[in-house]
Amino acid sequence: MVVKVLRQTSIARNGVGAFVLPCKKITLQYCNWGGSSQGLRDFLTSNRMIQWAEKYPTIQFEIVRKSGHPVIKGDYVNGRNKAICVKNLNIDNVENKLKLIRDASGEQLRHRTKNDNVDTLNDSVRGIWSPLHLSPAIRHKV
Amino acid sequence: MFKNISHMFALPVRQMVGFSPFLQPLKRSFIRTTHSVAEKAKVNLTPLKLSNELYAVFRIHNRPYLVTEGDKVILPFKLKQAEVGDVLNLTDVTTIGSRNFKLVDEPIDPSLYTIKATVLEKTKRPLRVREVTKRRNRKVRHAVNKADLTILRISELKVN
Amino acid sequence: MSVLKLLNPVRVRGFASCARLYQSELSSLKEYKNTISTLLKNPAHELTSPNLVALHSRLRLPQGLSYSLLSRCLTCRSSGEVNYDNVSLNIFGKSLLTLAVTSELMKKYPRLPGVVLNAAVDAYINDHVLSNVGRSWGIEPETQSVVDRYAKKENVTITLGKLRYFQNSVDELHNFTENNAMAVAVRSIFAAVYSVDKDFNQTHKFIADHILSRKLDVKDLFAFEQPTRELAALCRRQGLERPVSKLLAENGRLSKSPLFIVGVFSGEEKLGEGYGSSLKEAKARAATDALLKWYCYEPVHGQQNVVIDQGEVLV
Repeated sequence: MVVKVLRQTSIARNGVGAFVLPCKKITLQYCNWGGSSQGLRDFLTSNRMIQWAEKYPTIQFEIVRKSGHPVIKGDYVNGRNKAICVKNLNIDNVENKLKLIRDASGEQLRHRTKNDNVDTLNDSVRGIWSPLHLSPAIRHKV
Repeated sequence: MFKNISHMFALPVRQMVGFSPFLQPLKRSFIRTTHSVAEKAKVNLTPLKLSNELYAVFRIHNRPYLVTEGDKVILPFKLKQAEVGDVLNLTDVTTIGSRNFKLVDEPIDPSLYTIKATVLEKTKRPLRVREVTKRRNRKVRHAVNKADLTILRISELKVN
Repeated sequence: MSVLKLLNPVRVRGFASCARLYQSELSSLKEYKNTISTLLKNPAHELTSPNLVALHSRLRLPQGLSYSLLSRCLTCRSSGEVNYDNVSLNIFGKSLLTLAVTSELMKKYPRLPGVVLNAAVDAYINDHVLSNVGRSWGIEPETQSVVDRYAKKENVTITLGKLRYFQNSVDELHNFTENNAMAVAVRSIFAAVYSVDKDFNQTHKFIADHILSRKLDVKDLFAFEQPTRELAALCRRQGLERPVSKLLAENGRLSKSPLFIVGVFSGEEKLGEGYGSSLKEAKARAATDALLKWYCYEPVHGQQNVVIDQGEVLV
C-alpha cells in the first residue's frame, strides 16, 4: 500500500519574493477637437506624461486619438480593466485619476466586514482551541 | 512590562512532531522581556528560532494586526507615504510567537526580528450610498461613501 | 481568403488587374512577414517593442538579456517561425525549474515520499501554474493572424512582444492550447535568464522569487488508504514500539453527534491525535496525523545534518 497523492496547485502570492505591478498597460484616449479633452490634452503635451513614462517602465502607455469624451483605461495582469472618464477634468485631476489606475490591482471592489483585516492562506500558528482538551475536572459533559 | 504566558501550559498543548529526533517538545519555560537594556541582551530567542511557523502582532496607527508570513493586510486608509511596490519595515511589534512560545513587549526591540511588508495596492471600498432621513421630514439626504484602503503583503517574518 | 478582403471591390473588375493587385498585395504581405523574422533573428538590430520593454522591466530581467532573446522566448514553433523558436529554451527551462524546485522541496521536507515529491513539484511547475505565472507577468497572447495584422497595418514590433503560438488560427493546432504555449514561454524565460546569468545561484533566486514563493500545503497532497497499518509498519521499520491508540476525551457517546478524541502512542510518546464521530474514524485520523507529522517533517532552518529518510513505508 504505497502513499496515494491528490493533485494540488500552488497559489500565487505577489509580493512574497518578487513583486509585479498589477497594472500592465494604460491607454489614454483623447479627442483633438472636443473641449472636454482639454485637461487630458494638457497632460499629454506637458512634461508630466514624459515623467510618468520614464518613472514607470513596467507600464505600457498607449495614446489613442478618438472622438468623444476622454477616457483613461488600465489593463491589469488578472485580465480585468478599469476605465475612468476624465471629461472636463483639469490637468491635476487627470493625473489623480491616472494614479488611481496605477495603484489598483484590477480586482473588483468588494465590501469587507468589520475587523476582517487579514487574509491568510496559512494554518493558525497557535492552533485552534478545543473544549475537549481542557482538564477533565472542569470540562463540560453532556 | 511583564507578560506571563505560563497559563498556556496548564492546557495539554498538542505536541509538535512527536518522534522526529530534532523537534523534541521544547523546554517549557516562558520568555519574559522588559524595557531595561541589560534584560534585553538576555532575551532567549532559541524556542522561536526552533519553530518553522511564526506569527506576529504589529501595530499601525495603534491598530493591532495578527499576521503570519504571506498574509494580506488590509489597512483602512490610504498610505500616502509609500508607493505601490515599496517594502515597509514594520517596527512597532508587540508580539512574536510560535505554537507554544511568545515574546511580548511594548514594543519589542526591533533588532530582534525582521518583519517586512510590500504595498500591494491602494484601492477603495465599493461606493455606498446611505440614505439619511429624519423622522417626520420628507427630505432624504444621500450620503456617499467610498473609503480608501491600502493592502500590504507580509513578505518576511523572522527572528534574527 | 482573408487577402481577398483587402482588395478594394471597386478595383476588382477585370481578372487581369485583380491578379496583378493580388500579386502585389501578396508580395508586400510576404515582406511584412519577413520583417518580423529579420527583427527577431538579428541580435545586432535594436528591437524595441513597447510590450517587450515593459515585460523586461516588470520582471527585472538582467540587463544582458536582449529584447530579441526575450521575443524568441515568446515565439513558439507552432507560430511558423523557422529555426528561431523557444523549443530548445523550453527544454532547458523545464530542467532548470525541476532542479530548483525539487532541491528546495527536498531540503525543506527531507522525508517526503517519491510520489508526493513528484506531485509537489508538479503543483509548482505544471502547465496550468506556469500559464498563470505568465499571465501574472503580463504576457499577452497574440490573437490575430499575420494577414489580419497586415491588413490593419499594425507595427511589426507589437507582435514581437506578444506570445505567438499559431499561424492563421487556433483551430490549426492539435493538443496545444494557449495555456501550453504560455507555460512554454515562461519556462523559456527562466532558461534565458540562466543563459545570461551563467550562474545557477542567481537563476535560483529568480526561480525562488517567482515560483517557490507560491503557497503549497504539502499535507493536502497525501491520501492514505490504510493509515493504521501504514503507521504500524513505519514504527516497525524505525524500531519504535507498536503504535497503540488511546481514547483521550469523548463527548456525547450516546447522543446523535458523539465526538471522540483519540491519540496514537508509541510507548510513552504521543505520535498523533485525531477526532471523529466514531472511535474508528478518530483512530484513523490519529494515525493519519502521525504519518503526516512523520512525512512532512521540516528541519529547522539552518540545521546542519538533515535526516535523509529511507523513503516511504511499503505495507
